[in-house]
Amino acid sequence: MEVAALGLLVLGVGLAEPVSRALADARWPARDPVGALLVWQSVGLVGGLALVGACAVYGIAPLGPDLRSVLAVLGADPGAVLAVGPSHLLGLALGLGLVCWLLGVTAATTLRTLRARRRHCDLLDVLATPWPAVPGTHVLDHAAPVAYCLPGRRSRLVLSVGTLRALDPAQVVAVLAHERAHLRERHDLVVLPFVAWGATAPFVPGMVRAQIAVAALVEMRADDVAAAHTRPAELACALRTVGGAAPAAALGSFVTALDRRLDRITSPPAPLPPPVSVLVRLAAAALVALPPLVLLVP
Amino acid sequence: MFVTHLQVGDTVRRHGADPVTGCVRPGAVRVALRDVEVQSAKRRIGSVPNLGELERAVMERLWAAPGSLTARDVQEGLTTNPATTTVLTVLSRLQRKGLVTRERDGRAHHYCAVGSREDHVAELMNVALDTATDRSAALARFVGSIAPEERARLRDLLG
Repeated sequence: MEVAALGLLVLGVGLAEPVSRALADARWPARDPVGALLVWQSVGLVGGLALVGACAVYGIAPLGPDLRSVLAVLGADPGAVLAVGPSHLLGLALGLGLVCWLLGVTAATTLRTLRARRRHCDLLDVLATPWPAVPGTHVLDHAAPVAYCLPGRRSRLVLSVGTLRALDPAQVVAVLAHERAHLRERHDLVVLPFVAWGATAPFVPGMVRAQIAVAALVEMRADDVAAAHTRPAELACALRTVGGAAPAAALGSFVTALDRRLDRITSPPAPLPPPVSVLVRLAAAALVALPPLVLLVP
Repeated sequence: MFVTHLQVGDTVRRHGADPVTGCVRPGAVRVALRDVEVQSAKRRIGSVPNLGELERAVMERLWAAPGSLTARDVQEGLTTNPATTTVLTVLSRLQRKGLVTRERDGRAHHYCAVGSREDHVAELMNVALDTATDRSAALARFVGSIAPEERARLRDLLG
């Protein structure tokens, strides 16, 4: 059992740092954002499960040679878990603490997000004018060009007057298609665990990179959806107008990242060949199966 | 049009019946019917466009006023001529959302907008612009999913 615990630990640490880093630096995700997002989801899920599992398995290791015998011992006498000795009890406590931490941080992030969204929505209700031409779209009276979506049950698409002035109708349609893709595919939920876990482990640069990479992939996916409905040049031009209004556009790194993303719209990289893309999805699924395998194989 | 008898009875008892005699005041019935219509419409379509428009109109009225206003002042300034109870409902909704404060002055309640229109627009734009600014992508395009201190930390980490 100690070997299984060690295996899970190696898996968890490996996913949290070198694998996350390599995946964040890889170039292929731009060619298959959906596949890359699936891989990220399973890296996140399995990374968390493996670390918690490593602590728990180490904790119960003295009770038996494999999981089945341990479960039989615990089923007969749950109190036996106290007899594992101080270092193994510490392992159990660590695992429990990690679970509470991960779930707590996710819950706190969710609550904070919901509260901020409700406040934003309440303000939009009294400040923004519903745009009759496009149902669900609200216009905010401000000169700076912004366009964004507010996900959730009361989801909104918001454009500023500045955006309507700066863009021609086809470009407005393109921006709305991009934002609508975020809403329809619930990209906020895709990003949420990574935001929460990035907050859990800010000292692990791999986790922070994961957060940023997932956010970038979600944008690429929305670009792809929007580009299918509009002319790519219009979309790129419109997104540059809206993105370039931000104060951070003064930062070189931001502009470089935006440029790279917009180049991807006008001259898209070749999508991954279908067999490779299938392989990516299979790898994501196989990764999820890894922790149970480590536990079950003696 | 959306009224059922049971709802009319309920609402009239709540708003319009004289507590001593049990008689129904005629004006109250009109008010109650209007309320029932609003409530039925709410049930029917999930959200009430009229209520949203009314909220906006009430806030515009409060923002335009130099000081605080009573519900009657608010009502008189509205072009759509809504019922008093409707105005009170809207004011209490706005109060619950933290957009309006209520103060008691003798027998009357005075309502006042919290912050100017410009303050609130600035708040929205700050959130919106900040969401559009994240380096590699709109990291917090999803409003509120990232706290300011986290944002600062991310900036530090990424240089």
